[in-house]
Amino acid sequence: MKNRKLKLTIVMVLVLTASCNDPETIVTNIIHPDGSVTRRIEMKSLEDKFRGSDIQVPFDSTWTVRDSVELLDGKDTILVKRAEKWFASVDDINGDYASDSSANKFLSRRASFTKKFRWFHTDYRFEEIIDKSMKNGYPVSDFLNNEELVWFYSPENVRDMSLGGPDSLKFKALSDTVDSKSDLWMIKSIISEWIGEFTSFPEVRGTEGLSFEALKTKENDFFKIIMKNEDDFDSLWTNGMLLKEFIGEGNALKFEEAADSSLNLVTEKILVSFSDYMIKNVMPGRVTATNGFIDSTSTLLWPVISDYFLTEPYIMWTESKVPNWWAWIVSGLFVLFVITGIILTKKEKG
Amino acid sequence: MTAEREKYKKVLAILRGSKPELKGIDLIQDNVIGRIRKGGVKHNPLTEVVENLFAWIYIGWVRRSLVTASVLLVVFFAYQQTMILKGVNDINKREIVTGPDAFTGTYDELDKQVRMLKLTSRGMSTGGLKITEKRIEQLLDSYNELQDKYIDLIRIIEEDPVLKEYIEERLGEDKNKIPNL
Amino acid sequence: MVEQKIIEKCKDGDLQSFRELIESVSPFAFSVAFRVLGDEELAKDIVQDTMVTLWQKLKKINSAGSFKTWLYRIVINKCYDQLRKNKREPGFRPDEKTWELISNHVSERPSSELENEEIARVINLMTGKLSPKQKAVFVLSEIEEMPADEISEITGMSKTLVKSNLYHARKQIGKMLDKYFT
Repeated sequence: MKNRKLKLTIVMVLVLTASCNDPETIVTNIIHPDGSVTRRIEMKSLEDKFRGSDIQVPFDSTWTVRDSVELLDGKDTILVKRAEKWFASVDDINGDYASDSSANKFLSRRASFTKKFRWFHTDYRFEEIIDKSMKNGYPVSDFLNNEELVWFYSPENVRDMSLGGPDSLKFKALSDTVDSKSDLWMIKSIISEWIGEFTSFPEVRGTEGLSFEALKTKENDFFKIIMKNEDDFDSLWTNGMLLKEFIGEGNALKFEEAADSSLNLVTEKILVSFSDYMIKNVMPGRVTATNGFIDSTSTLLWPVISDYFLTEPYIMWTESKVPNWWAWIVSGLFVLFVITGIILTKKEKG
Repeated sequence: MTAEREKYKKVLAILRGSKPELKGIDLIQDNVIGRIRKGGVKHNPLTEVVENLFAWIYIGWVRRSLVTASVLLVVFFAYQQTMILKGVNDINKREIVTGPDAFTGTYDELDKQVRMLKLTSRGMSTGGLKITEKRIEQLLDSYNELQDKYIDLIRIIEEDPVLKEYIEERLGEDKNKIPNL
Repeated sequence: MVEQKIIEKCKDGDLQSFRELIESVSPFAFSVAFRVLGDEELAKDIVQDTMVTLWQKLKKINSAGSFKTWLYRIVINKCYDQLRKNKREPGFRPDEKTWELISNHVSERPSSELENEEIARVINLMTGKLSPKQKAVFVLSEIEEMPADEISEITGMSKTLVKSNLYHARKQIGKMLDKYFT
């Protein structure tokens, strides 16, 4: 017990320190009608310097970079690094992501841009996508209803406002529900992912009763076993008891190493070294649809947090429209022309 | 009905057979030529242009096609505008987020990381904990910094009764409150 | 109705040729105008106005074939204008003398023609309750014996509308005949 508490403390401290080291980063994409993008990265840190390993979004010497020191609340000094670059197209941004050496280099990220001519308007759509970490995880929407999903994806201060507002009791209950349901989601996804990893090991493949489909049918049973023994999970796993219950004694002994390796792989995916940041988009024309949040300056923004792309791709998209004024004029003239002709027809016929 | 039709045919026959006779063609000719010569009948280029432009009104299928095209254009425009307004209204109803400083290093995020690490901490119980020297240095630096900031933190908590209550509640919870995996 | 070379000469501004053209086409124009309006003097005025308008629109006429359509179109449109003005005059009243005239012609003098004045009275009696469009379609179809395609081109109505107007015109006239013509 003491051992565990000590480990927990160390872990908490490590995580705290990791969090403290991460600069606060905002990536702003200014999307132009021709598909080019001006990308700005603003990093703020309480440290005395920025480290290369702290950078969440890649940038290099081809960017225009400015460093400055600013005062936070008149007391603490913060380091601010601002980088800006114009990209001719999203392909160039994707090129940067492909050669990513930032803190989030283990992620698969890309951007996409589409433009469609719709006569009276031109429709634009910009997306930034972070591919999912887990291949076999469950979408969080399988566990949360629409209201709970909104809470799940809400930024921290939106939640705080709700929890501190007039309906705080309702939001506290919602928050607790979301927490317990998302734990369920996490556990089930871990199990499913473990099954995927385990059954893909060469030595396991082909073994009767240990195919992916076969183990998936027993997934719920495994889940129940884990939940029943949650307090003793560590020891029961270590001594192979849980595995024996799941895949049988013979297989548990035979494939213990593969099982452990699979769990390690799954753990790496969950604990992927990720440094969260925020994305803002400025679109051409009028925004007509988005899955992001809007701030007081009508800028669209998304928090980028590891949970969001654990089991499904995190797509941050926006659609906007720009009126084609020349088409409006041409159409108006055409309709006027036809109306005039009809009036003349009526006059002639009497 | 047949009797009515018969009457109708008979009357038509009379009318068809009786062609109106135009008397005084000469006078008509003189009057027309006179009016043309007086210059009251000029080929107005503007009128010609307008008449050429609207010659289509005399051709039934062209007129109907253009009217249909205009109606479709107007309907399409109205539909597009409605959809845009609907989208814009939906967005205007959305939550407004203020300030950019609430997205990183949240307590909930920390909470989740701790829970995940708890689940997988069996990995640490075997073979020892592997940690780099760099990490140790970072740990010590951060620890010193934490110590410095500890006093500030306590002061902030003391000054905010709601925050204090919340923290006390969380600290007072037993281990079962931290979701078990 | 008229030769292409005459039309070309008129397009070049030859008033003498235009005079010839007036002479050849006026009777056709008059026939239609008179039967639509039921008034000789008004019909003559229409013919004159039609000729003047025709002079203005000569450049649009490409062939002798389209000339006929143009001519009748101008006549009908001017008749519409006139009929609109006439709307303000006192409405239709059944005329016993005219019914007698019709009866006489049908029974006793089937082969003889009516005089202009008599034609006018018969036309006015028969078509007094018709709308301008119904009247025009009736005259062009039933009396001038033009096909629906041609009437559609002249009036600008669709063929369906032409047939509809004709149907209503026949129905109305049939009722009149049934009521007054024994």
